[in-house]
Amino acid sequence: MNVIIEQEKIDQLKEIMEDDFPLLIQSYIQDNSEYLEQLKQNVNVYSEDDIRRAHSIKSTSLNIGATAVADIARELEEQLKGQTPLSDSQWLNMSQIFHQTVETLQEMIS
Amino acid sequence: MKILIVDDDKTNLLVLSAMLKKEGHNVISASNGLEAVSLFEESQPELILMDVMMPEMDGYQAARIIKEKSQNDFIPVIFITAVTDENALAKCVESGGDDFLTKPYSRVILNSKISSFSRIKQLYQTVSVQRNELDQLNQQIQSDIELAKHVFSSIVERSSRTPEKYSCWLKPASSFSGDIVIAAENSAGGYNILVGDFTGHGMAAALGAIPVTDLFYSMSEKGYKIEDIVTELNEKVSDILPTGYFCAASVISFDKNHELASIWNGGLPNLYITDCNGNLINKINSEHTPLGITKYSPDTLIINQIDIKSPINIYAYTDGLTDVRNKSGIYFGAERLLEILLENDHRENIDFLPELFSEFMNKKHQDDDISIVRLGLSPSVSDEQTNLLKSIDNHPFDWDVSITLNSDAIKYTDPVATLMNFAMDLKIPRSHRDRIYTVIAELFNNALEHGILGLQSTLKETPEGFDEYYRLRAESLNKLQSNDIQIYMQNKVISNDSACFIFKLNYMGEGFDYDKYLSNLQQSDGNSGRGILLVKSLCSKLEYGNKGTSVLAEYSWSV
Repeated sequence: MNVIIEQEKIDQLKEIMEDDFPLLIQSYIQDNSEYLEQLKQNVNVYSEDDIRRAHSIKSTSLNIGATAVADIARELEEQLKGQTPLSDSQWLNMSQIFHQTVETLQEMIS
Repeated sequence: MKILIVDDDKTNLLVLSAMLKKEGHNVISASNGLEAVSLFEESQPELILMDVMMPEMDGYQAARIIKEKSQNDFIPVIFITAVTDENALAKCVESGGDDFLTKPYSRVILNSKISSFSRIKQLYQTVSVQRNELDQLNQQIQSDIELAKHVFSSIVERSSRTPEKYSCWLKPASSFSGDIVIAAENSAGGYNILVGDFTGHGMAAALGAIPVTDLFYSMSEKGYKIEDIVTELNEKVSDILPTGYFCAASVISFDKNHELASIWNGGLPNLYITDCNGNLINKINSEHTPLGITKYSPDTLIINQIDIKSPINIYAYTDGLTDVRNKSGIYFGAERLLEILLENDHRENIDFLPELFSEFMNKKHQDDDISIVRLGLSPSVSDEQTNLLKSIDNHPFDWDVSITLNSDAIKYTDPVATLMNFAMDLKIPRSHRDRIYTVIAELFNNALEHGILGLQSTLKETPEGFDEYYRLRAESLNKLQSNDIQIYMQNKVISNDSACFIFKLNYMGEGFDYDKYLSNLQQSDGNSGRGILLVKSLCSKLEYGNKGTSVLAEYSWSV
């Protein structure tokens, strides 16, 4: 199991973004929550857009050091490309990890 | 640097934009390919960072469109992708991307990529500025060459008639020929032909050809003698060309009736004269340096006079023809050329030569300009030609002109050529020009040399005396003071197609005993004074008076 958030990455981002750091975190949480919600709704019929959503979750998570979410999003993207639906346990895992990540991030900007 | 970043994830855009701004770049963002294309056109960024997977239009397609639209400029497109699949990365480059960065990337790598592309871009700009300069320069040179070609051809290839049995082959080594071959009509109703080979080839060699050609035409037309023309050409070449540049040349001059050909050769290979049946009669070798090296004097130039009794061919060529080597390193050579020429001597023209030559060369390129001329002369004019000449000429009309030549005019001009000019302009038929020329030239020179300068024509009977005669002539001419020669020329119409040309000349001076002079001449068989006998035979009237200081000649002519 990977770390939820890489502190080193967060430090770099704070340095780069300065006052915009909370904005970045908020946009990450907001966009990815939406993507996950849409993915859940489309559970039986996946489209190209869904693959791109999974890809986005992976890519933005890598960007802010949310390594655990990025790992699961990568699995997710691969499976969608192979037209394999996600299992219930995969969804549960994803939801829990994403929730933990969001909590950790919100603490950082509060 | 102005950088366009393209990503559909706001988070990614935020991070990237912040990073680039920290480095001092000016950042504009687009959230898909379509937006990127329109922002690219609107804001003209200098570099583009492009995500691959995006809605509306993906990065590959956007890159392709942008590259298509920026062909004259170098706008680097760097793909930023989380994909690590080799095929996907290859696709980045195929679609026109210049490089790729895989996520997650570090700031250090991003910045060094950007600065490396910035350097490439500068290099590209420098190169394209230089390329544009070169293009412009090249265009300028091309149009200069076109202009030069135009000027060159209008002077050198001026549309002029050529002698009847005249055939030449010119093959320049490059677009400009350093060889010239000119046939200029002369005042004796014949032609003067110049074959010249300037040092080198191409434009530099061709430059000298322009003034030389011009001079050759105008002097031929005005009736100057071959030795005067050659002397002037020599002076011209030496004036205009830098040291080390010269022109090997040969001049052939002949009259309307093809009775006499005068040939001068300065630095060209031997001219060949054949009997038109494959037998070599004569070779005219070069006895002078090429034009533009040493000073010539008209009196000492060696002019070969050929009396034409039966048809002959005269061949003149430049050494570009004989000095070439073929693929096997074998020279074409003068022997081979002469053999070929004699074998084909009976033919109509020399059109057989190019084929034989290219066969010999076997596709090897020639190094120098090639020219060869064949001139056929036969000493009779057919009735058909005479009639043709008649129809060209106009009816005679009355005119007269009188000229007083003072001593400076006698010293520094060529009065015979000037007088001949009048006669030419006043429409004396071609067929009579050479005879009238003889009348003017002989009577004038006689008056000057014997009557004014007091020279003895008997001197000319030996070769040494001949030189001495011309030395004395130049010397006394130089000392000449206050001696005028008055000349009166008149054309008196007799009928619709006939007239009488009257030439009067008088001067103050010693004069000479014409009757004694003439009877002496008739007794001797030397070369001297034959001219006056010739004039007497041409004219219907020839009278000397005033102790030989005045002379009247009448020459009758008809169209």
